[in-house]
Amino acid sequence: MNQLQKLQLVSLLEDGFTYNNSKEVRHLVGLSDQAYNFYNSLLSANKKLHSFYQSRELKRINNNLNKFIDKQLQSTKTISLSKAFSGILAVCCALFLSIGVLVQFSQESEDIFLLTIPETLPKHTIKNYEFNTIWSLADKINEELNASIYQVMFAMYLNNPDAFINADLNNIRGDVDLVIPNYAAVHAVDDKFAKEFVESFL
Amino acid sequence: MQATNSLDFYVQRKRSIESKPVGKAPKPPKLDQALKLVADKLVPYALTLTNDLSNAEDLCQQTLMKLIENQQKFLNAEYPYAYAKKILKNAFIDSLRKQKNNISLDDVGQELSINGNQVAQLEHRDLMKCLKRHSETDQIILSMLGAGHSYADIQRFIGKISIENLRIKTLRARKTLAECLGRNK
Repeated sequence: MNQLQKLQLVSLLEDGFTYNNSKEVRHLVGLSDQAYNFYNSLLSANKKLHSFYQSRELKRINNNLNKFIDKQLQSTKTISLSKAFSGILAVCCALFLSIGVLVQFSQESEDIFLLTIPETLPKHTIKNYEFNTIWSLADKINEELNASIYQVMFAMYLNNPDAFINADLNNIRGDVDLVIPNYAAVHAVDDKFAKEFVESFL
Repeated sequence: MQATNSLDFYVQRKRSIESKPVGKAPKPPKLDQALKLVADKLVPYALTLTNDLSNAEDLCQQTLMKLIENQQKFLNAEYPYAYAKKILKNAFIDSLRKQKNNISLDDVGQELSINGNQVAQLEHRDLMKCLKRHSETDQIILSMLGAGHSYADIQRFIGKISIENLRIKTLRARKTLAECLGRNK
């Protein structure tokens, strides 16, 4: 049996012809023992191929692969969702940590940055030995406060209620330092009224 | 006429200036559908390469993962089956390199892990031994025919091959396989 005859036989089998239903096949197989053996080998090879590649194990692999595909495609979707979720979570964590740090920093820096506003403004005082009379003191500072001597004297009288003996403007205690009135206190009173008040002690 | 690849899926190509758009373009293929079509064809080829069922499954899974990663290339390829086949082969070569496996493909020392009796195992071993003597294309043809795939499917899987050429190759491959198995008897 030559190569061409073998190919013819294979071709016939490929087209669905067999020894039982084809005269040509019977003719080719009947040529020699070699042809008969080849025909049997051909049938056996086809059978083995089918039994091996259509085995239960291969079907199981195909099923596994289909499940694998579904799982992978599902996981890629869930990965994207989980990525988004983890991103949000990361942002929340970052915010929480940053707030924590800020709070901690603010707590730590409270002492550094806190402006301690005094309940009362520091009082500018003048020692009792630095002046002789209330008039001379008022004369020294009235220009600085842009007010008249009377205004300054009146303000000093109001700001130092304990500094005057018997509430007399002319009798200043020697052991008390005088508080210098601020600009607002000096200008709170009318110059005319202050003058009348001071003159009332004369 | 819309351009389609061998999966019969729409492929976006540059239109010539003269051509006019005809209706709406078909929807792009679903990845899972395409992957399942390809996976079915990959298994016989993977088995001829690895000679082992579990390794074949692993190889197919690796290939599918890569196809998912490169889904745009895969879906728009002219021959998606051939593209998948190429990836599978490259994955197989990579795995061989990683394992530093110097056993040649012709070496059939490893037993097929197929459940069954000893006779069936011997028959399968003989079959694989004879298959390994064929060229890669012939192995693909025989394994896919054995798995029950059509000539059209095999043509798509191999790539650029005419049906006539494929048929001739099939006849020769079947002949040589029968001769090989006949000699081993």
